[in-house]
Amino acid sequence: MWNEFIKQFITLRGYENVLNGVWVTLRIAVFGLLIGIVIGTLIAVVRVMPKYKLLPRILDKICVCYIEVFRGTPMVVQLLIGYWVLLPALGITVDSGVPVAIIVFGLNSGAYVSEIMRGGIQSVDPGQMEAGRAVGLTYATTMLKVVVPQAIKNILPTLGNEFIVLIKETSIVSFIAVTDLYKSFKQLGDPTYDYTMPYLMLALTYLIMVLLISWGVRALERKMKKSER
Amino acid sequence: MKKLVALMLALILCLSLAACGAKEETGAKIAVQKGTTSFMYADALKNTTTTTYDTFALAAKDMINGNADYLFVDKTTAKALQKEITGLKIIEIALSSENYGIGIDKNQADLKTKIDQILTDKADEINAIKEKYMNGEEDKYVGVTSATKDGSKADQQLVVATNAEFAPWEYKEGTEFYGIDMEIAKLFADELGLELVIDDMEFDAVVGAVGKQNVDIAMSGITITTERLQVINFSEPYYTESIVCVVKDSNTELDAVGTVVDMLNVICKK
Repeated sequence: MWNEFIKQFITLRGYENVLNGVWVTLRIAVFGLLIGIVIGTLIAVVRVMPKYKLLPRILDKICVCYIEVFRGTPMVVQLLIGYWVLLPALGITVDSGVPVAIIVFGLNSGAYVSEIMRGGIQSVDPGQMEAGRAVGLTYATTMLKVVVPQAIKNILPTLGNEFIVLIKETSIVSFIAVTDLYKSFKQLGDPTYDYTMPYLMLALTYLIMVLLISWGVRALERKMKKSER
Repeated sequence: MKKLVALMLALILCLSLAACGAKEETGAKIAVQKGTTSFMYADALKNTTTTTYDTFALAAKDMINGNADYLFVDKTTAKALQKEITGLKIIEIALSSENYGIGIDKNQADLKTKIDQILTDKADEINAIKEKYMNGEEDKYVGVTSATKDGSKADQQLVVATNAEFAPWEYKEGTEFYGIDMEIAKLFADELGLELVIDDMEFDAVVGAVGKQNVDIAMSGITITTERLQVINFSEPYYTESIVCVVKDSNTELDAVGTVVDMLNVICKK
């Protein structure tokens, strides 16, 4: 069992596929999260805006619809629709499913990040906003310079959590013919139909990646906490 | 500050989109179903990228959508796909020749003897089943129903592992199974006096499933290979099949080639 795995992994150069799988998985998770943060921040700002005028009200409704749709359907279904329905409908051809995966992961995590971000903004004491407005700052300046920086510090651990969730969820991209970490390990077991070692190693690889990320997030948190004292 | 933030956001978006567009894979793209001999064949070629799909039908669809250049698939299945999916063109040159066998649990030596015996005794009936599916005589197809798998009745059931997405060998319509393998499986069950259970799963799980969870045999258009013989036993071959290349109607690169070598040269040098 062990010997067969070593043969597949090293002698037959299976590690090249695995490294490629790690790269694909990381790329989808990292860029997915970045797109998610951008979309999430925009939506969160729209959602906490004062709703006296018509435009913010309409924007708010649109954002709520977006969040409900992306949180209410499984990511696998979104991937399948993106790759098998939307791509042919739009007449776009791609070299691999990775771009589709990045965009779908980004849109999906945008819905989650927006809620995290909104919670973060609302957790900042309303007195901060009132104080900013009272000393003559505009709404936008107070938001960006006073409220959002404090909000980001509050939500950092949750964002790290979102990143970890994304990394683990990338294992579904084989649905759209992408060779990610899961598939690259699975292929090591295909010739012998013995998946014991490949699947154990797969779990270990995910675990190492996630441990490294949570360690990084904790370090960042510690650094940001210094300003509290 | 506002401008800076806006700029940062824009930069991140651009970066992400650039990462999307980055082309790191080179050469012709070959679409195959995962775990098949077509995959092994395509994977061994140089200067090409092999993309694996859950089924051959999905692989064919993605080629039609423009995301792959060639599809490697068993010839009989290629013809079945051509009927369902418009715009496919089969290049009539055999890339390889292979034998389909029935996968049998290694621990049931007597089952192999019995199945080989039925294959010889009932050769005429089996040929008739093959013929009607090859000729598309749909009115003669007989649906096969599967009983529920019951571990306590393991001795009275013949459990067949298959991937029912491989017309004309096995496919599903409603709750009934159709196809050459399915009707032959029914024949086996009747001859052996057992209740037929069809266990539908992903193709790359079929071979590994035999001998586990009460699965007795595997019938899924399975090619006899030395790798698979390490894991399961096979009946004598019951069909000789070839892998062919399928392209889009509009693709004319392979129209002029006359031999396998010419064809591989075109595919690998793209």
